[in-house]
Amino acid sequence: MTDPYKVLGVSRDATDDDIKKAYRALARKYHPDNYAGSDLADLAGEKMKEINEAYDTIQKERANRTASGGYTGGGYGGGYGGSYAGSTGSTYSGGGTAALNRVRMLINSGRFSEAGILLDSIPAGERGAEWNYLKGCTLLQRGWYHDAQKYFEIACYMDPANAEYQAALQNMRSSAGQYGKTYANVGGCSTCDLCSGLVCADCLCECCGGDLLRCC
Amino acid sequence: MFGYIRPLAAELRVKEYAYYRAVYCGVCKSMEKTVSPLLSMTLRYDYVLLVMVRMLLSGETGSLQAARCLANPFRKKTALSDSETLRYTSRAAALLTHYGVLDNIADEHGIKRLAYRLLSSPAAAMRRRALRQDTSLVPLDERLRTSLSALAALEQAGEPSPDAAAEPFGILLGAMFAHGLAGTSARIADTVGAAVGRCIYLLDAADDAPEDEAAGAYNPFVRQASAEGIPVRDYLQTHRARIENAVLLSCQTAYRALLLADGYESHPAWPCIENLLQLGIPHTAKQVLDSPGRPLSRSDPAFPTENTQ
Repeated sequence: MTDPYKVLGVSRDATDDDIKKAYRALARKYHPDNYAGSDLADLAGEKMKEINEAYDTIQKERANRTASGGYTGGGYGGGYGGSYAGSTGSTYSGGGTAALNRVRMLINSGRFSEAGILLDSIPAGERGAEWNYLKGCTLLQRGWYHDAQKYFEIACYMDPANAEYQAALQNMRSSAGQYGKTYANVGGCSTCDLCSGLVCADCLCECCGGDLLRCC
Repeated sequence: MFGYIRPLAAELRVKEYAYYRAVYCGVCKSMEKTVSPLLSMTLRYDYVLLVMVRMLLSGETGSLQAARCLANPFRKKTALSDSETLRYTSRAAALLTHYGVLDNIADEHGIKRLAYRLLSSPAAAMRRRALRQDTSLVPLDERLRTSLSALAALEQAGEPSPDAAAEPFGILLGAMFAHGLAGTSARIADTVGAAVGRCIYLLDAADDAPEDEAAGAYNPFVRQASAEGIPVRDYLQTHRARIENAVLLSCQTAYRALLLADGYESHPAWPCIENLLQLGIPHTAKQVLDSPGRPLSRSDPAFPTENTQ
């Protein structure tokens, strides 16, 4: 069996808090929702299982070592194990025509290409907000992010009061925003940049007979 | 390949940037040695990601050596020593170059077309050499051919969806990333290649959109803009977030796929790959969407300059 400490990336003398932190970080990274609908969802599930088992093993081992060990088993707060293992995607619900209900059913059972074919067979005149939303769902799963967003936007435009459509669009945007945060936080204007900018501007002013900063 | 996959060098540590440059030099030297010096002239930054991802997935760390080359005959540069990954990349690049030249002969006009016609014979020879050296590349060659035919058919039909148009290039790159790998590694490589391929296509389409609009050539964004009855520059501005998000989410898909690779964090290529997917591509996307059609800044210190060899 793989060393549970190695799985969590902590040393054997790590504190309980460090272990919990490492476990939480890994659980966030490999959360099944991050891989929902992906071809690699099964690999992510296996990874999550390995992390949960490693955490459980360490907790049990530590609880056995100390007489007052309060560990009760079952993963962190019963959390990232059972409850997440099943949540591999949103459940689409709501009203609509028989064909669209069938599409929803296909999407919920992960049969995205069949759902796409069925959606495309619906005549253009009958394609309302729900059709656009469901189309967006099938495209999102294929990684067609540009088109998925476009269909979600159309669905929201056609039915602005629908919370389901708004949530789908918002999820896409916030997911992209979250990922783009690393880039957004890069660079910027530091205090050094500001000072050197002011000194340069002062030099230029002095060349022309003026003075921007009296102190230098 | 188009050169859109570049690192944000300012965010790499000195040794990480040196490693990136060494891989770039290694690919160049390997192309020269394995296939032809002519092929090394087609080298783009994108190939570095292909090499690094394959090295990471196969657990190969590679070794560095100081070597001279045609571009730097007097001063030795650090380059990744030749390896099976580099030789594979060179041969795969030879296949792609051949089909790229054929595609350009069909698309271009006038003097450019003549230039590509002149290149077609050496490009075909490079492809033949690559296939002779490694017969296992025959299925990959077939996949590249069928993917590019599918792309040409979509373009011919005037496909309005940018994602549908990007799909064949994603499949092509997925096949290139995954060829010869097995099991989990092949699945991860395919996902990474497909996502990066879609990014490259979308960025290239956005970058070329104003020029294609003026020339009346096919471009999915021009098709989208004409459906809305607006010039393509206005379309790119209005729907900038949609395109940028599509690029970011594709990068995220590739990044998350690589998190599933065993021991990814300890591989020397990981900091560069992480930089490319989290910073480099978003930076390129910003540059392209800020001013489509303008050549990517080479004086920008964030990027390696063309003469990095």
